[in-house]
Amino acid sequence: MSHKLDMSLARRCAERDPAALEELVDEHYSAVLNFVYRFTGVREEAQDLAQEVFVKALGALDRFDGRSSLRTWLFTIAANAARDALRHRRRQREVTPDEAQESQLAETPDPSPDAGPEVRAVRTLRSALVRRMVLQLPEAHRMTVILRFYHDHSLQEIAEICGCSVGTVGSRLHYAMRKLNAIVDADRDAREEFDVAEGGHCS
Amino acid sequence: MRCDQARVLMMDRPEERRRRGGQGLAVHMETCEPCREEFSRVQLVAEALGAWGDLPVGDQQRAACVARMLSGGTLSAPREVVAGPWLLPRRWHVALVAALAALIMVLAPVGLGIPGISAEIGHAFNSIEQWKAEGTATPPLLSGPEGSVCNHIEVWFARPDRLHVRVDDGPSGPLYALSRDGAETLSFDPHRLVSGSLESEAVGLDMEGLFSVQEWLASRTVLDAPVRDLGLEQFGPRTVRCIQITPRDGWLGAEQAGAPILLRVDSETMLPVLLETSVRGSVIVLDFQYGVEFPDTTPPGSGGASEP
Repeated sequence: MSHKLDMSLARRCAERDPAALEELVDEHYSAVLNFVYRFTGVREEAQDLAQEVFVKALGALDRFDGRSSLRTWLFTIAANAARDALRHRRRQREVTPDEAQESQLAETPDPSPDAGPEVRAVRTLRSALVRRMVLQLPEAHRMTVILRFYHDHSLQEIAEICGCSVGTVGSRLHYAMRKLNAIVDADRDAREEFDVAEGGHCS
Repeated sequence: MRCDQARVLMMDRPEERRRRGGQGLAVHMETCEPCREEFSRVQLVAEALGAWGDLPVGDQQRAACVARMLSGGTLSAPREVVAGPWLLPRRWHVALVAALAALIMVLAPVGLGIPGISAEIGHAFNSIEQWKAEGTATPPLLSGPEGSVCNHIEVWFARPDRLHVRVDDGPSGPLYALSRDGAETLSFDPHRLVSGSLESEAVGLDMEGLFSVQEWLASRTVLDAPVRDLGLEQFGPRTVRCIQITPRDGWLGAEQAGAPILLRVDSETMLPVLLETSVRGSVIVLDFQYGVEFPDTTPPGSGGASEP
């Protein structure tokens, strides 16, 4: 969305125009929800948080100056809200990432629902592995990985969202990718095992 | 262009790489084999990350969000009812659920024959009430692990004939786990690494159990594994002591067996900072202390937060 459109949408939202609010939510809700979900690891918490982000954004829209895109600005609010939620969780010790909850994985839409049960099982395992490894990353590294590889933000945008330098974003990503290398190894091993056992292809 | 600059640039979006790196990056990549390999690895990992798909978002959720915005945030956030773990904030709840789960295990030979106790694969209960309604609840007889800092209990049935109970304390992972037949009663400490397999969480690496770094350095502990002090080095803002350990059989999985482990401990506190090993040319980080930054080799940019 262009800068001009961002500013126009922000202005209409600040005036509480229901159509503009719908447009804002249609455009960005899914990305914000998935961002906070991947960062916190808890789906129900993410739904609350995503809504909270939009409520906060609405209250602050009159201060949106268009220096960054509306999307980047929303993600900045989302990043702070997600970090606060984890801090609160640590203080209250009330919710943990539901990393082993296979039932949630089953709700993730399958890109090819016609695939056989073996293929779907392998996909579920791969998804669980990736999820587990991403959630095990330190918070700062997890956030940069999610913003870069799930939401395609540039390093400059991530620096703006996280409030750090581009160099720091780069080094965080570099560290995180070294740690996530294990996914590739596990994925390759799983493919080999699957191919040997089933004579099939799991991609 | 230096390798450290190239390795930051290669993380960026393709158009940003072209814009910021220009020909310098292309020339560097042509001549630097390690950076080419690194880049190839980054692409593989990025592709693999795609396996964790997006949550679906329905019109109802969007409408609820708009309604909450229009109400000024006074509406409570409607949630979808999903199968989830038990998220219980109070310790007595944890003890109660642990007791219920433990009792099922005690009664497992009988219990698993009762319809309702053998849950379907992937089935989870949202609440104790739901568990009761499905005829699976039993009176509590046993107490939960005393003094534990656990805040999350999860009971699930990985297979129709197998019950798992896990008590987590958040990012540190399982503190306590039990299997169906009671033969496998496992106790975990915080900060212990667990394996990636849901079925074999008993396999872990206990850094406390390996040895006490302070005692070893003071020569009060003799390790039953070859250990070498590689000296001091800088790790980000910290000065760390680097220690090479050759693991015994059984410390790690078969894949890592024989690969030396590098342990970096803070030179002042002697607390572990980073534990890593290298298998098949890949560096695998086994444990990492929160709050330690990877060394930043590039000068700070001008990025500033635009948060309201």
